[in-house]
Amino acid sequence: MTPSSTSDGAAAAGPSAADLTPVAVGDIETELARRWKAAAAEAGRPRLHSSALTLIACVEEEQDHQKVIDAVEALAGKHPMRAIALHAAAATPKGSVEAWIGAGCSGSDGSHSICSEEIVLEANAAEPERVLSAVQSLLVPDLPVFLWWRSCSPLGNVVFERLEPLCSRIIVDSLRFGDGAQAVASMREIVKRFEARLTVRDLNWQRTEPWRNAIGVCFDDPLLLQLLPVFDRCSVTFAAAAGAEVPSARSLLMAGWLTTRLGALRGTCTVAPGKHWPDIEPGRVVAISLTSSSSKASLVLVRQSAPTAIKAEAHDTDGTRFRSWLFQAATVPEASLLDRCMDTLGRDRLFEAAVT
Amino acid sequence: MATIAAPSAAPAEIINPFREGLRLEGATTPCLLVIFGASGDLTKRKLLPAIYNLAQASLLPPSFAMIGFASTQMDDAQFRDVLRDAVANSSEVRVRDPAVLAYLQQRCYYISGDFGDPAAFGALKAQLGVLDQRYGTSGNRIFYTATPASLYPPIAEKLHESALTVPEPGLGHFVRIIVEKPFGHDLASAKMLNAELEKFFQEGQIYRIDHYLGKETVQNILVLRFANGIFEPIWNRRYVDSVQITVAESLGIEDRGKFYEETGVVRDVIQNHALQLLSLVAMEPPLTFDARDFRDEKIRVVEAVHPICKEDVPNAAVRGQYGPGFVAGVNVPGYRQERNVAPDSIVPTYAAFKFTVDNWRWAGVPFYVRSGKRMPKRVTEIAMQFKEVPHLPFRKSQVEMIAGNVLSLRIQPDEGITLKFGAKVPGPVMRIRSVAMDFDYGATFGTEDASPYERLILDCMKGDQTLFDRDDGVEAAWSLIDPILQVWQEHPTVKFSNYAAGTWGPAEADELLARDGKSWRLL
Repeated sequence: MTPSSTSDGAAAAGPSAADLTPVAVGDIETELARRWKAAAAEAGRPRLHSSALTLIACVEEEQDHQKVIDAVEALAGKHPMRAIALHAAAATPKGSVEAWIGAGCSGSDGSHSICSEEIVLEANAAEPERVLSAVQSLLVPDLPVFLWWRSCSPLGNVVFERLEPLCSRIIVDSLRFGDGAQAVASMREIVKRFEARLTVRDLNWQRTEPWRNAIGVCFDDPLLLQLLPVFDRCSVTFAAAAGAEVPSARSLLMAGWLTTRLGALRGTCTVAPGKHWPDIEPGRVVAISLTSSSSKASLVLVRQSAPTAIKAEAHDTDGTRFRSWLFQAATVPEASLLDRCMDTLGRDRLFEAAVT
Repeated sequence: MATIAAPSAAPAEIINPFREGLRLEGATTPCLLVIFGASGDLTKRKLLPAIYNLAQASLLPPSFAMIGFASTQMDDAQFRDVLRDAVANSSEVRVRDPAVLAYLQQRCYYISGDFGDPAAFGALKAQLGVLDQRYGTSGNRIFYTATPASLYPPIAEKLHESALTVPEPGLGHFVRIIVEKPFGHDLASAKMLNAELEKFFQEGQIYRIDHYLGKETVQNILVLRFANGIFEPIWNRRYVDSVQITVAESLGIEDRGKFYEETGVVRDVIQNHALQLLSLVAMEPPLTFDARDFRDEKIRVVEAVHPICKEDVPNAAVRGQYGPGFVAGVNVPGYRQERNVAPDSIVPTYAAFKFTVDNWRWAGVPFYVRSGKRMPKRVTEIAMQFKEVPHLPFRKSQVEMIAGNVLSLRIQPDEGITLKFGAKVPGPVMRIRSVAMDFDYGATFGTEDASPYERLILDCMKGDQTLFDRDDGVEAAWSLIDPILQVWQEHPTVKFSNYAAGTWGPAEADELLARDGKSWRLL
């Protein structure tokens, strides 16, 4: 990482990786305080910034720092925080932790500016105690610590093992965990291991939200709700990859949710690849159907393109279509997925049930 | 469709299992929204932007459509243009998305007709049936009366005559009606209005809007009080010396002279907004935050406010009317010089009251409430003045401006909370100065607030009446205010105008507090 220094060291709005300033880990608090003081003096207002939590974001690739910073900036208004982007890799030189900082306020009118602090750390993954000491010294006192593990499954990772005791929430992305069955198995293990002590969130689970919302809203219809007892089969179709038909984690999570919400579907829900969609990344859910073994009743939801939407149709026991819906289902950016993972309090029982 | 069962088999006992835990849990069910007074100012300035914002945030139900109803001649296309212009011109619209506007315009219809014309309501009923089929709105209806209050009863009656006040058997879940403030002109008219509406709607169907309750920072009063352990133990007569509630406007009456001449500051602000603030700050903790528990406690505290009887009015109430003056360096006319205002008007543009609350928590604690037009600045706040320490041990120290602690809750603008307390000035000498610890809502949560109308329309769609007034609540508030208004009507003042625009009200308001050895906060 070779970020350049800022010219004046003053807090700037929306720092990018290029705006970050190198600083020794032990000097970070002093330097951040100096920046806030300078920014306040420049604005002619009292020094004022708030934090609601510390977010430790562990990234896989060095260049992913910027993605973390972008997400933090996007969420600063809702979740004022100190973010620590940590890249601990085997190739990083041993013997020290390199650090860069950025701090800035957004909001042009000055009266409602939102401030956040970004700290980038680089360390060798084989020195977890050194990493831990650096991170520990930078936590905002007495506030929740969220660990965003933006990498493959954290189980067995020595840096993760050191950091997780500091945290009250672990946020992962099972999309990065490998094939679907393996990813869900890892999630199951993570949920089980930490269920007594902290909460676990999955960005990939949030990606299924448009489908879950759509199904939830469809069954608000009194006529469809009346048909609920006849539904005893379901299928989840995902976009196929060329030459691969392994179910994605997303489609398995979706099927898990369906079967835990409606017991009659247990054991009858299939997850299968559909056609290859040129505009859709493989693994995404493209269709869901709930059907009946005793009649022609069905609820069929299909993904549509341009604009991206979910079209739903409900059919009566004689196969007559009696209702249709169209739901917006635009791709949700990573910052919004993270926001949802940070937003809700307590355990996500539905997610945990769908995984286990 | 022969196999779909008749109403008797309606799924009353089947619960949608896919709802639980979703972010949209408790979300809106399919519905048709009918706006009476659709060509009016409120619709354009507030309702249409709020509905657009809800659509933009994907908070409207997928099965949704809207019908505008007014006497103004217009067709669907013209009403869609009204929607477009309202969205384009509103400062409350956060993101302008042509696709969202197009989506909403497609679901936007208009019926031109008189509010007393049965044929127009027949046309409305027919249109509702057509749109139910087209959009799957399931027979659910919300009627929004964005009209003068005098039109609420005839609209309700015509809806009843058209069999539109109850869900269609076997089809709809709900029919709701939203009515705007002012809800009545006095206690008698409020009771009459309640009675008229309740002839045709049950109380559970009636949503009386006071948009103040839709404000985020007003709701934050409840969070501050009931979600934090440190405040509630000192939130009582043992620690609180007095409470000041200020709802001040720097603006005059703008082009609302006709409205204001019939209303005045007490009916416009005190009877509703200011008393809402008083009830939120003084209420007991509700058992739950559901509509019944919350409103029970809110109304209970208003009922506990000691009535200001006619004899006490001169000592507990002050009225004022602004004369010419300067606001923010600009020369502005007096009230009687405003357009559509009588040159000898006795309508108050300022009022201040001293209330007391007769219960264990607040006995003996005065609640000073003031509201006025053409004040030096726009500010709404609640200030809790705490009692001073019983003994100050710093006799030899330099004590500068040390006063009791004040917790001020700023509602607008610059929403936030400030706690004033004494701190030692750095140095070898013991010097004490009052300092402020400030929480700035905007600096902490930078997301732009939804407008109160968004929140309240959404709540109505969800069937949540928590933030709406109940019939007994409205009547309790009028019961407090009515005797004062009667005395003032019987004894019209000759002193108006008695404060200059750009000042904090008449001298009598200062005397109201001075009699208790107190003064208004300098805001």
